[in-house]
Amino acid sequence: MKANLAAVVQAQSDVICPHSFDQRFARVFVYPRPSRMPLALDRVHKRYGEAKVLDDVTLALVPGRIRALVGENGAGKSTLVKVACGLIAPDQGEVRYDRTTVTGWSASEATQRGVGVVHQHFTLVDTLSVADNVVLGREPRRGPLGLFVDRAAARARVAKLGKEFGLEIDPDRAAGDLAVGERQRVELLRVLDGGARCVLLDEPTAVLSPQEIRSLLDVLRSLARDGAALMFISHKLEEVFAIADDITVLRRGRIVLDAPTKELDRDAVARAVVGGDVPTVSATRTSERDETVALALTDVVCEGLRSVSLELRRGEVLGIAGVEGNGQRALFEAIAGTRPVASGRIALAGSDATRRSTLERRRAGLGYVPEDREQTGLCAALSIAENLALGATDVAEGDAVLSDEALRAKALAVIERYDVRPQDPAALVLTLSGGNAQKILVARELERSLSVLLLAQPTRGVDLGAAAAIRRRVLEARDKGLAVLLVSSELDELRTLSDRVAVMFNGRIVATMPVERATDEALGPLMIGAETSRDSNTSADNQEARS
Amino acid sequence: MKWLDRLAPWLLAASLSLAAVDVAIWLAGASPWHVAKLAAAGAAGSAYGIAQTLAKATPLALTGASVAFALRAGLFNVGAEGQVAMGVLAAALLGPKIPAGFPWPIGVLLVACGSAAAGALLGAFAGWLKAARGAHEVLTTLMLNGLVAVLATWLYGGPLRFGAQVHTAPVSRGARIPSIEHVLPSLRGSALSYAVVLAVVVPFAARWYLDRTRGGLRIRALGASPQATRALGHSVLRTTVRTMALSGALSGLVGVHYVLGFKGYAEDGLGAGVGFAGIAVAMLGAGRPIATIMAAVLFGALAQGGLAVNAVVPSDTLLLAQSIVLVSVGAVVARELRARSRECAQ
Amino acid sequence: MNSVLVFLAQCLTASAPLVLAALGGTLSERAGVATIALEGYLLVGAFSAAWGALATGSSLAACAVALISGAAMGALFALSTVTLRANAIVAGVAVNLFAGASTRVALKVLYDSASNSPPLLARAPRTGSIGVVSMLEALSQPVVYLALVAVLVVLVIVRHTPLGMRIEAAGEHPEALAARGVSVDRTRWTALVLGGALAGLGGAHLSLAQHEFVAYMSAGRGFLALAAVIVGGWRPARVAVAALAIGALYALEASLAGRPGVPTVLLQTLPFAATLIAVVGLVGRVRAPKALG
Repeated sequence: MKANLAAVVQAQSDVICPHSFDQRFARVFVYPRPSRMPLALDRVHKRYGEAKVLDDVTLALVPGRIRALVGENGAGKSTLVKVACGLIAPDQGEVRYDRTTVTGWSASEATQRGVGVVHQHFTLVDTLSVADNVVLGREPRRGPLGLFVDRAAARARVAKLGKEFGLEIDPDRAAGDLAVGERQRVELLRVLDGGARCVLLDEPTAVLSPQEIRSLLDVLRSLARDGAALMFISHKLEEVFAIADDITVLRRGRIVLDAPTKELDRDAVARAVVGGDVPTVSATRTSERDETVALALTDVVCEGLRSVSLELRRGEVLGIAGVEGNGQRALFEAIAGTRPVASGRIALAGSDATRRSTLERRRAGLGYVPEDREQTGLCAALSIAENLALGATDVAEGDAVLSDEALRAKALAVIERYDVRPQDPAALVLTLSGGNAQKILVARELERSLSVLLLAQPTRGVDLGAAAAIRRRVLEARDKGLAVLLVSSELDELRTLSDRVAVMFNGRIVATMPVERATDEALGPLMIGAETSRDSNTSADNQEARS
Repeated sequence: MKWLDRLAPWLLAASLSLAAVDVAIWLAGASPWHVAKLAAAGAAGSAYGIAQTLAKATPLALTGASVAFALRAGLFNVGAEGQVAMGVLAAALLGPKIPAGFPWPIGVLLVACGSAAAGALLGAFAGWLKAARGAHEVLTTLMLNGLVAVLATWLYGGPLRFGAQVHTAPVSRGARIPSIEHVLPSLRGSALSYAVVLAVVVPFAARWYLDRTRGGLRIRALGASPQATRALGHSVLRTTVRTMALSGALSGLVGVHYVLGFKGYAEDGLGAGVGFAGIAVAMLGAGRPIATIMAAVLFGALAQGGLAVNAVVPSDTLLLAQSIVLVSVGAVVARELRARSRECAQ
Repeated sequence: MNSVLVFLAQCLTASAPLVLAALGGTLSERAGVATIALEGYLLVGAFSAAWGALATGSSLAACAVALISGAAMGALFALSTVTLRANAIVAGVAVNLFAGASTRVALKVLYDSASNSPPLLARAPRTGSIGVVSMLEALSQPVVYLALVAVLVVLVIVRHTPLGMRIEAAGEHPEALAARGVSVDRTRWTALVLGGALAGLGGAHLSLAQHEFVAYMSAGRGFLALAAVIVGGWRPARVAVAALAIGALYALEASLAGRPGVPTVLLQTLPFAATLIAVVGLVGRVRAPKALG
């Protein structure tokens, strides 16, 4: 097998690999359990339709070491994890366990052999208790023929593991009542309870607060010390460098970098992730800024929003920074009119819109590009032409006959202007790539006469070329006087597009600053609530004072 | 080879249904081949048989179009059964009220509007319960089916009973659809009337409305994504009610066929079963008008063929095919959906 | 006194099939499969019990036959929805159509009748007031007791067994179950077959209590049982209570019908109307299994 793996490496000319595989595997054998090499993928290929998701991936996990798997959205990381844990079968290549090829590698096989996965989306049953969730599938039994669940034994197991790894949690609480960080602990407990010696974690830190991340990383370290082989997915280079022993970078399904952390620096990893330098968009404005207020929120309170005031002017982009789940979505839905507002006032172009319906707001020139493109943004089962037609507000009423030619012509114009592939107005949106679908969604809104655009995660899951095109279109519209409220989890994108940056934390805007001052150092502490604002522009101070 | 991949599951579904019915026939103690010949002769072997097949297909095409219509909005209208009963009831109430001297096309049109409105009312109610109250349409329409069935039984056996007869007052001549037997004397006694035109027109009209109008686009948008519908500012409530009302109206039109075309009156049990059979038609038709009509004719032929073989095996034997077709088509559709979502999962 | 006894007897008679069907529905729906097939289960259960009673002369044997054929129907439904992945509503309609047609075919083939079976298990001659007689008659039906046992059994399955936990996981979050290496399909098969068996047993009561099988005798009871599942919030004890309440409405109809001044039609629509109102009123207050579909 070693020879085989080495041959693969030779064949892959674009793999940056400072170490030979032989050397690296030599290390394997001095680790705690020398005879065991829990899990390895050998020349694994996987394609969905035309797209290669995994392309000749070879990877081994080592007991006692933590490997970080890094890559852009859509690079194939989640697919790799699913292949490794038996949820999907590779088209080509092998999964090996303890250096023997496993035929018919399945999820149950993987579980039995001690491969545990903490998925990106939690696999907890909300209605069951913590203990039940931990033991589900391996329930301790009692009574005649072992008919019943032994709940006492389940609790004891949870308590014991909790003590061992610092994951203490009340076993009787319903999983549905837990906070995100606690849910993740239960996930880890579940995996450990299964006797996992090899733990895969798919973006475990994406939804955690900084404190929770710290304690998670501690747990992972103690697991590794205990001899477990760990692999976790992340795109936060900070934590990758803080904890990983090895780093693997995946781009477009291929491994482009694979080396011990101490031989790498951040720049090299970042370059490997994006595959060279990122195309940039110039934000130079061609028109002067305008002082007319296009959108104003005064003390708006709703579910998920504690009290928000902001002003957005014509021809301005206000970027909202913040860890996901701090009220960004609530803010957009409140402005769009799909979430009821408890108190406060929303004014569009100076007139009160708080009680107006979504349709009336759209008629008044409000556009909305939601972050959830597939479900809330577009009707995936309808065609490009139909999705574009749905943007027109007059479609919302009556039964007038639609003109097929008009819809087609409009769609063809957008396809041409935004360079959408395929160039077929009748193509269903669900057949489009993320980038092309996003272009349709942005076009649907921008091609109306808009005064305010709510733009959430405009380039998430979108390839770099399309992302640049979308950003250019938004800036063009801004230059024509469009006011844009932008939410993005990519700080670089925020800084490129915005004139001002506001930070949301815990349902409030805690700071607003001109883009020049919105450095990582300035934004970071605000985003995690470690620091409140000193900026005069924000209403947070006043609110704090009032409450 | 791609077309073969697509065709194979359908062929498998068809042969499975055939095999299951054959086994049933064999269990019932008859020769499948003999029964098949009898059934074919009964359903298609004579002008009368063909007419009967078409007459049985007429309500199925309407309920099939009705179920398929609601399905485009993601709504499962299993209430066609009750909506048909409402349509029959409305025709039975309005039919005798039309003056006998009326030109029949106008009289029929008036009654048809009544039938459609009655079906629409029931459908709209279920739609409102769904959108305004959150009660699942499958359960509410099933309850409404039961409710309407009980009411109809009582009405036909009591208040609406025509003298000593076990049916309602006969429809006046001003609202009676002429039987086709005046044109084709060989069809004497057949249930076929000009109402069959509805079976051809309605599936096309429904499809046209969905594809070519704003209302239809909103319905399809709702079916594609309720969240997107809300974000676009469309009223989910109004679209849901409208969809269910229109779907109910199509089912209600079945009353025109039974009361104005076929019987000339209503009686208990008239039209029972065509609502559920419409689900099978809708699954086979998959929203395509021609396929819907063909599916209706297929099930009409099974029903008619079943009567023809009744002396040898019970007529319901052939109806078993309906359920097996339904499951196999359901499985094939699910398989295609999975294949499609796999392709798009990149 | 007499009328109270008659009413209570009718309650037992009308509730037993509803409770059993609703409990069967609870198991399958908790596993995440919408089960309008209950109607078909009841019908097939009723017919096979009639066949069993005529063939063996024992009502317990008849119940066993109904239990087995109900389980077979559950397996058929599981094959369609779980293995072949057909939409549960479509498959449910198919099972109901199949049940209607196949029982009629069997009726014709076995008993040469289009509408009903020969009388089953002659009534034991009883003496006494009408109330006592109808009570004794109701209490002579084994399914009444079996329904009571079933409530306890389902309760224990749901709350205290690994199977119950897995069924719940299959209905709430099937991916979670799969991630633990447990087959979602197998869990759902188990739940559906068990559910079919319970509902089939409930169907047995329809024909045994009436001493004959009549074509389409389930008459929407399966759908009402499904409504009871929803009204009871998918929790066995509450579901049983809801089914009992619907049974009481039927009993009201049976014991009041024909009395002067009581509009029969109102009584007959009562089960459907009241259930509809209960379902609409309770929506949002009960929590459906997340992956139900």
